[in-house]
Amino acid sequence: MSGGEGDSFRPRYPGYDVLAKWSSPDWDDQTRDVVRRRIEEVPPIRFFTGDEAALLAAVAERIVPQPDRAAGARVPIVPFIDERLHEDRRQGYRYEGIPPQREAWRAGLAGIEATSRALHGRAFVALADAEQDEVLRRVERGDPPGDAWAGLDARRFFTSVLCETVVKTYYAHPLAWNETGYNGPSSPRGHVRKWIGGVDPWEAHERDARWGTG
Amino acid sequence: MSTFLGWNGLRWLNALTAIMVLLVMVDAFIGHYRSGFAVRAQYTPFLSGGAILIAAVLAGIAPHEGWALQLLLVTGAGGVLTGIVGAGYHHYYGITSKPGGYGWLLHHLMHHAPPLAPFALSAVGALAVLVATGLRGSGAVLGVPLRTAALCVVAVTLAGAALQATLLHYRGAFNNPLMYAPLTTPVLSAAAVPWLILTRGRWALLSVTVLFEATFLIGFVGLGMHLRGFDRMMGGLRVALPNVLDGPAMTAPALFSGFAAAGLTALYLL
Amino acid sequence: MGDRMTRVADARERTLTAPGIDGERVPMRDRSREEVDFCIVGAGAGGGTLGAKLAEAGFSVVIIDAGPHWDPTRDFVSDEAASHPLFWTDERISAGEHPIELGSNNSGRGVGGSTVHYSMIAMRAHPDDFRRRTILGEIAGAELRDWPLGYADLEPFYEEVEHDLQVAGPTFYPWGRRRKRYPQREHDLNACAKVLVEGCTKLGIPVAPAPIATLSAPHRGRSPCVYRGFCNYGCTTNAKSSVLVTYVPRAIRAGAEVRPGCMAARIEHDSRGLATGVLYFRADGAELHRQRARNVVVAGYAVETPRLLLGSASAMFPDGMANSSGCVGRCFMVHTGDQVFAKFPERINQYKAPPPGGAITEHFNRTIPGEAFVCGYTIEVVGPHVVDFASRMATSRGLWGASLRREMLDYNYWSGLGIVGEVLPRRDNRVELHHDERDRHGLPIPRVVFGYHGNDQAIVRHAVRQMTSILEAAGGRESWHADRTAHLLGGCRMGHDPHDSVVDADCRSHDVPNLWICDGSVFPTSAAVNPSLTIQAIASRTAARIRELAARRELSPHHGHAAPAARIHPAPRGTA
Repeated sequence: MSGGEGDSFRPRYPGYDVLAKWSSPDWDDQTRDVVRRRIEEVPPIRFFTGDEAALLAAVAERIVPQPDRAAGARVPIVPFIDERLHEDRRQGYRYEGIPPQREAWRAGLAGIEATSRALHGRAFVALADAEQDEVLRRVERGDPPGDAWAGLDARRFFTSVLCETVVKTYYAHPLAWNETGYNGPSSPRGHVRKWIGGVDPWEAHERDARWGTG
Repeated sequence: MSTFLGWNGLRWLNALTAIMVLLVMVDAFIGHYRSGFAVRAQYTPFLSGGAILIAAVLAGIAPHEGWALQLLLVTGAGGVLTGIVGAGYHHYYGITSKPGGYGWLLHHLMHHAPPLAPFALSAVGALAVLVATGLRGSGAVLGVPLRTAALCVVAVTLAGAALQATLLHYRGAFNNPLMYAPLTTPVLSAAAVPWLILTRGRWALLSVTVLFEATFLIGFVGLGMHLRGFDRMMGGLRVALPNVLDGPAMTAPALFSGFAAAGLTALYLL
Repeated sequence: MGDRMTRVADARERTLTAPGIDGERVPMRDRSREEVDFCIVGAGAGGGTLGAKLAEAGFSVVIIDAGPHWDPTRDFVSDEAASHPLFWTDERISAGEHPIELGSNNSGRGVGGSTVHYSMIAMRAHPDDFRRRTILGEIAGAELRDWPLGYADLEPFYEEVEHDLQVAGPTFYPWGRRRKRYPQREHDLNACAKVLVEGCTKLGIPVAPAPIATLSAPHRGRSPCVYRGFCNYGCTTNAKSSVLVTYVPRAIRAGAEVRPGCMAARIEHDSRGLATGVLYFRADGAELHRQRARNVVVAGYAVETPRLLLGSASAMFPDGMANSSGCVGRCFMVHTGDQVFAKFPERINQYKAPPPGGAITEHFNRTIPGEAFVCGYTIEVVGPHVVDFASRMATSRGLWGASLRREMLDYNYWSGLGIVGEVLPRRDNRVELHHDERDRHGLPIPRVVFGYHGNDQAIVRHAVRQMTSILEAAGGRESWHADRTAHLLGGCRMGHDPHDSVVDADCRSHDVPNLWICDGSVFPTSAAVNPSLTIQAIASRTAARIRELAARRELSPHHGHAAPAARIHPAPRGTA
């Protein structure tokens, strides 16, 4: 799933910064408030132990790698997951065979660590990238070695809990909006050029983008 | 030939031509900017319309200079042609090339390039040709007396504008009863003009006069209502650009007033 | 009816306020101390619509809802991650052979219910949809039933609701019965819808503008849609005709009280087995409150409605209220909502404009000759925003790591289609109370058990093939499929036979004559169209029927006119 990273994330929308629209009619007060908090008030770690947080950070870096960003400039993942678990903010359901989310995360992280030790004899954080990916793939396929996953459906945990949450956390950040060319907030201003190839003046433009035909 | 405030009918028509070509260009700019000038031909109305505007201003300053009138004649004819070609473009890009094609005709007519809008430039161009011909001393265009020709241009334009407006007001679900206005006096005026031309009766003249006057007023009511419609769009002036692009056509109602005024001018000053 | 009773309470009445739709506060009557004519549990498509119509008919009405009363000008944000309060986040267990996604996928929270975040597709069911058993006969593994009402019964109410919501639709809609023109004109298409039209046109599949409950022209102080595309996260401009900005303000204006933050715990009844009111928890407290009512309406959608009925079991109703048939919670259904995405050479920008895009095809919404399955599906347009799309890439495509980030750079070039596919009712698909897990109020949480019928999966396979060809015909490449479900239906089906259904055609429970159920849970079969308009049409019809019954004095068992005692089949009578 991973490969030569680094330069493969060359921006498709150079110069596009969704935050440059902060004062435009695309952003209303309540949206500015939630995005400002997301950027400025990264929550402290309160639920995970130090080891768990470090492990999850390493896992998150494999699920959504950010080698193109300096350590301090990365989209924070673990703090937001920690906050959700600290507040025990749930998503409205869980699959049978998965315990309530706090237990599920603890058990899942322990399972990844155990799988790492069973496969490579070392802690997950000490593995090389490819080895880490191998561990995660075994969990994803639902056949991790060892009995650490007895109370937890590994495949379901990986896909519907771990992977989904990490991915959703990453793509909720304005840095991710910039790289995908996502327009971001739009209220009250909406869109006019809705057709195929149409790009409004206030949307992300590519270097060689032309406005489409009406 | 009678005069009004010192100008004869032709000079008034020339002034109306200048004003209306400006309105047509504003409307075209909004529509063509909305689609991002994706086709180079979308610049044409500004070349053609700009030329008519310049020629009309020159003809206004120097109504007896042959070259100015020649310019007005040529640019006017160019406007007529540009409008016709433009309608073809609107038809192609607005309907033929759109997903669904003719199967989605009504959808395309409502939501894409307004099918009749380019003819507004043709109408203004025709007025310019008429003015140039008259100022050069001729009493007829293509064998038709100036007054009759002007009334025909006005009648056809009002009918077409009413049709185009009705299409767009249908899209707006006639959410205000005043949106039926284009179907009232503009259509009646267009219908009454042939009656006048054929009978030259007193009642016909009176009817056409009243209908033109009413249409002149309705255009201004329409302008006011379109401003109100703009304000009813989300965010109003604060989100001005999208609301101008997607809201009611700002200058379109004024064309009704303009052509009604041209009709009155033709009736009483030509 | 109500007026006589409420006048007594006037002296002690406080005046409350509720959020209006333009940021103002509107006055609202406090009816907490009254015995109201109707206490409705749930202010969504069913409860909100019914509440408005009952209040306007002069009944005293209280609508309680577990979530907040949203102020659309302040509470909705243009942000996916911050929109989680709009969804039902209390724990539920999803079980069975094919456990379904709940939460943000299909469950709203707060006044307006799921209509606050629905996609506004306003479709009518078709005449055949109400007669599945007659048309298809017995199908192994499915429990098909005809509806006790038909299209003709609902038609005037469809029309009424379409008018109330100012549905914007095509001048000529090619499927279903001939109909009056929609109140507003169709919206312009977005790029994803143009892809659908392009692909269908190339393949010769009929396709039409979609009817959408969103303004395309100004209406009574509400602005037309500006195509923000955040419809699934709450409309900040009030263009969307959710129940929150349509029926709820009408209900309040007509004197109803809409009481947010109230989680119903149980329905109370007297020794005759008649409902007497609802006990509920305030969001901020542990103590129970009581709303007395001459009639109780449960409108909590297909999970919470059976949950409340089952949770209201008593000595007299040991299996739960209105459950002598054993049908409460049974034959729970969803729609298949599978989606296919493909990449295009030009910018699509799928976040733009309402997710239904503006085009639809019901060409496959029928039993297709020569196929091995019955019933069909509707193809619609989808337009997930970036968080949602990335999560589908990860969970459905199994994409993570550097390849996910690289693939997501093309986010603006993907376009998607989705279906509403008919799902056959199966008795084993059910909502039940969890045997030991409780929520924060101590109420048993629901356990939702679901598994597809083979026919459902055959429909999906056909649909995925069709959607893929449509996208490819329009120039799309690299298509992939995400399996999903949409909507919650059934669990308290309506029917003529009290032994085989929970409510009659008027949504009145067979067992308890002053207990009503008014939401998607009354659907006996699922119909391959978005259900909200049908739910609202049924609510409107129920309101009309209640008016008729009241006029004939057949409504209120409490006041002695022709009071039918509770009918219990076959359980023996007991005392509460």
